[in-house]
Amino acid sequence: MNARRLIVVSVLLFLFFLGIYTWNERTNKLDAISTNVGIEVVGFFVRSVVYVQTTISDFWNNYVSLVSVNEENEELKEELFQIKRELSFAKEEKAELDRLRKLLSIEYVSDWKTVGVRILAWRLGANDFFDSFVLSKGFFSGSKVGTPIINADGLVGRVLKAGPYTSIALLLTDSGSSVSVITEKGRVSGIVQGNGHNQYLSMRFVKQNEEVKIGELVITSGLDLSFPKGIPVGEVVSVELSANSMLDIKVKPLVVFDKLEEVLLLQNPFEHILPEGSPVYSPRPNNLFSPMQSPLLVRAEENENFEKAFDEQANKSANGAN
Amino acid sequence: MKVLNVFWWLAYVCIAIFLQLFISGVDFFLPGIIVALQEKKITQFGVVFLLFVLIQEGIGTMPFGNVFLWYSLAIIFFYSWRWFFEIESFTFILLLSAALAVSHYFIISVLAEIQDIYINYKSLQDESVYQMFLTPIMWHTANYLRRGFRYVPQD
Repeated sequence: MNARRLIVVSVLLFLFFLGIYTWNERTNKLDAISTNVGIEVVGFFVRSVVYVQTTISDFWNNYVSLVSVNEENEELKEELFQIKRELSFAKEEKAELDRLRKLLSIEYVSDWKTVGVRILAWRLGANDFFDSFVLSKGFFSGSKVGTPIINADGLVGRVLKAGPYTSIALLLTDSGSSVSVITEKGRVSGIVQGNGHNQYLSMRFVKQNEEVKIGELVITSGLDLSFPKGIPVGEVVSVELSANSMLDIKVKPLVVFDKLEEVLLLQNPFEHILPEGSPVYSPRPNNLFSPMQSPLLVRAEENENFEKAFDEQANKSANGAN
Repeated sequence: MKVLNVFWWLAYVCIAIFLQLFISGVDFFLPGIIVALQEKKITQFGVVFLLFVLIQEGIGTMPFGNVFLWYSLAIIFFYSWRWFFEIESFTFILLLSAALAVSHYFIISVLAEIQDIYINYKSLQDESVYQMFLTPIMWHTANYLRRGFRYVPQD
């Protein structure tokens, strides 16, 4: 290949790239094709690896490593007894709650179906820049884009991309993840956003006169139509006054993401009649990372200047009147 | 021989995915692209390129485009530099992987900005450095195995 031909090929490749990039921006067809092919090829391979790994580890755990099983069994029996007791109280409370709801005619959606899913792999490859993991179920098993993911501790995230038998989930801690929440006791609403792996979440858009206490539980509000109401998200660890007349609240997620192995998908029973929920990845404004550029701050400064000018004018008028 | 060739590439895909499971943020398909380029078989290269792009774009979380652009740059760098270096030499691969690691950083930065996606530049930088050092090692291993494969006598 001579130099002239190389330049022509380079230009053609670049033009081809621009063409398919803009076409895909409008239609998402290439994303769909690559998702169905790429995720499934990788899913098939990783599933096989996980199967072999699980078989070996099960053999080891069930037949070889049986030390201290009796002790663990006793502990579990004790724990089961306590849980049974708590469950009986909870059943009573649930029955009372149902009666009260019926009495007050409050509609409550509690029919979200759960599907268990195994985590196949964490971030894969050089083209994955989000906090994400690969799940062992795809859209044939109810893992659609936007499906909420939980575990026993609380909210984990949402499905970002779904192939036929494998999907990719976006974690709650990713910077593009946002959830509408409410505090459990104070009923203060806000938006929880991720700040990256192993970082606390930020609860935003809470006015400074709202009462939020450290240690308070934050749960999903259900207002964004993406999550059912009442899933535990995290615990408030700090409340500070930020520069833009809002509270700067840090929330510690309840889920230990590094130790996740299986999760549950929550399927919305009324998906076909509800309007679409919020997008899975929410781009954050650039000024979020440089607070001095925030339009809210600019507005606050403008208000401050206006108030100063107003006060000066008022003082002058008062002096003139005196 | 063709069947063996297909199996060789399938085995390469499995090993690349396996390595990506353990070393996240590094593209182990790139050395395969370089190996396919060196063999100058247009059909083989076309199939390998298409398959690798679809896999990497599919498991990625960014919209389609950056892997295609990056692998296309690999083709351009490869053909423009082969006038100055012996394409099977380790120096050539070292320089090529360094250039591709730097271009990976810039492609992702620009596309993330265009697509309004927040990425952690510190980890992108670290991963580009890993890519720079791991590509020649993976290429060397693949090239060695490929050579052995080439000399298998036909029945």
